[in-house]
Amino acid sequence: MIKIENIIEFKNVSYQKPSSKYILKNINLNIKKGEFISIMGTNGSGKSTLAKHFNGLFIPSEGNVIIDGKNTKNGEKNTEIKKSVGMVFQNPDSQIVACTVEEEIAFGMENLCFTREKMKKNIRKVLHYVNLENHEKSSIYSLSGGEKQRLTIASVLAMEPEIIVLDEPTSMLDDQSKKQILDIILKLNKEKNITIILITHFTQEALYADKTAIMNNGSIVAFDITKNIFSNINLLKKNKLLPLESICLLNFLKNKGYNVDLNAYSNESCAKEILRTLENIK
Amino acid sequence: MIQIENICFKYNNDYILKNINFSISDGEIFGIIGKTGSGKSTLVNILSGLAKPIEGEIIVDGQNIYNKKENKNLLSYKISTVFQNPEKQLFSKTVYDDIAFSLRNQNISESIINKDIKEIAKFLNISSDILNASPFHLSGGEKRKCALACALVTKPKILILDEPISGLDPYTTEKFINYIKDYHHKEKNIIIFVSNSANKFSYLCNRILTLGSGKIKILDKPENIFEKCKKLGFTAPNIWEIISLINQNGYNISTKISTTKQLQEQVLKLIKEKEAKNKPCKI
Repeated sequence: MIKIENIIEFKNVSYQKPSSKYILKNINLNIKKGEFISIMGTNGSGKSTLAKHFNGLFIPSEGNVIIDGKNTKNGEKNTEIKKSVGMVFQNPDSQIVACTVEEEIAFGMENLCFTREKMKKNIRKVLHYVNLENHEKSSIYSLSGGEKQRLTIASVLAMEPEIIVLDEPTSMLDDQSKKQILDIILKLNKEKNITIILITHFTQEALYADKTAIMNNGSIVAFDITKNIFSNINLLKKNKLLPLESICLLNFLKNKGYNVDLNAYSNESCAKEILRTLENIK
Repeated sequence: MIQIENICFKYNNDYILKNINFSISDGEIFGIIGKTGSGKSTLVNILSGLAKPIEGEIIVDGQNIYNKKENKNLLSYKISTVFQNPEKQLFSKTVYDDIAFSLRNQNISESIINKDIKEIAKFLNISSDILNASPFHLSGGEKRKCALACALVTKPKILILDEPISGLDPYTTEKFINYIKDYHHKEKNIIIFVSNSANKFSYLCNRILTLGSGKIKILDKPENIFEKCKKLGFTAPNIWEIISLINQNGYNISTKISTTKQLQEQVLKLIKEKEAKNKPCKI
């Protein structure tokens, strides 16, 4: 039997800032290579603090974070960990440092001592991947919000990470740009087998993930297959997360004795279920 | 009343806004929706008195705000803006001082300031720990809540909310929307809500203007805007979309419904009505 190793392990991780209360409390989390995980929780639940533990930006006050067998507390392994875990933040403006698209993508690779030829090759490849071809020489100031966020993903991707952590990457974008970003994230996971950690407030986005973790007050209170999480309306409400309108409606009708499919998450499939119920009335 | 007359704004040689004309009546909740790069934030800056248009006039209660310095100063007491990035708006040592800043500028007594801050903090679920913390040590969502508190505590005549719910969790979003609803009911002020999508906030608006490439595309009631969302490149609110898909099959659920509870009640009513209609009559 093939043993599937965890690429990410959080072992009893707690974190507190000096002279402050605990922001993370006893987090245990195992993630396998190639998994797509979403993390949800209210503002201040500790999601972003948790995200910063994945590549050693934050070091646990207690417990250990092991990334691909390397402990983030081991300073010598710091560069290796940062190479294997790419981070994309909410506001691309706080992440972009260079003046042109090409320079921005090269920045991370230069720090990792990639050769000039490899950098050129990777820039072409990643720009194609995020649909920003012909933008190499563009000033970053000429890009829209969605293009900037695609650029940050391209810059991370160029460093050939095994894991990408995205902290609310779409919250400042319009609907069209949101969709583009999510499609790219899904493609990275399915085609390149990159492990994805997506931190989001939006149920529609979390539905892309294989598994979802719910955070509340610094702890992980649930971690399960995404569909199991979202069909548990009480769990979501208890943790101040709003369930999808479609799921609420179908659960409501089920409780009233109607035979509806509770897995009809999208608006289209939910409407179809309602229409089917109406048509079946004899 | 706000009148925007023939506004144009250029950055380098490119028009960011071109020939913008519309007016907002007293007591109106007015939505501005546009994709990133459509000119929304520039319009917000112009309305807030932070960017002077190259052409056109903005008249607030009969006074052109860019005519005299005094008009602009007067305006600063009437208008509160919550910008998209709260971190650019917070600067004091503690969150409490940040919220108190504009009230102290108006020489309001510390006891009233304290009362107003406690009231707004309670509503927005800002704990006393957060009130005493540095704004720079807060999470993104918490910073946004504090920026909202700063704007709302002054009870402005014109409240501009630039992407007010981006970065807020859905629970806080619902609370915030309800608060704005109550606040508007009480104050009857002008609220200008700016967003990149037709989200739940859109239901509160009396009218919505959609911007594209610096020009007005449509100015209409929310339900008429939702209908054109796909064409405009936006996603309509989930509840509206579910209702619209059902109604396309000959049913007639009200498109003004905005809550999950109302949706559940209306769909159940529809089913019950059809069951009653199809029930065989007793002879």
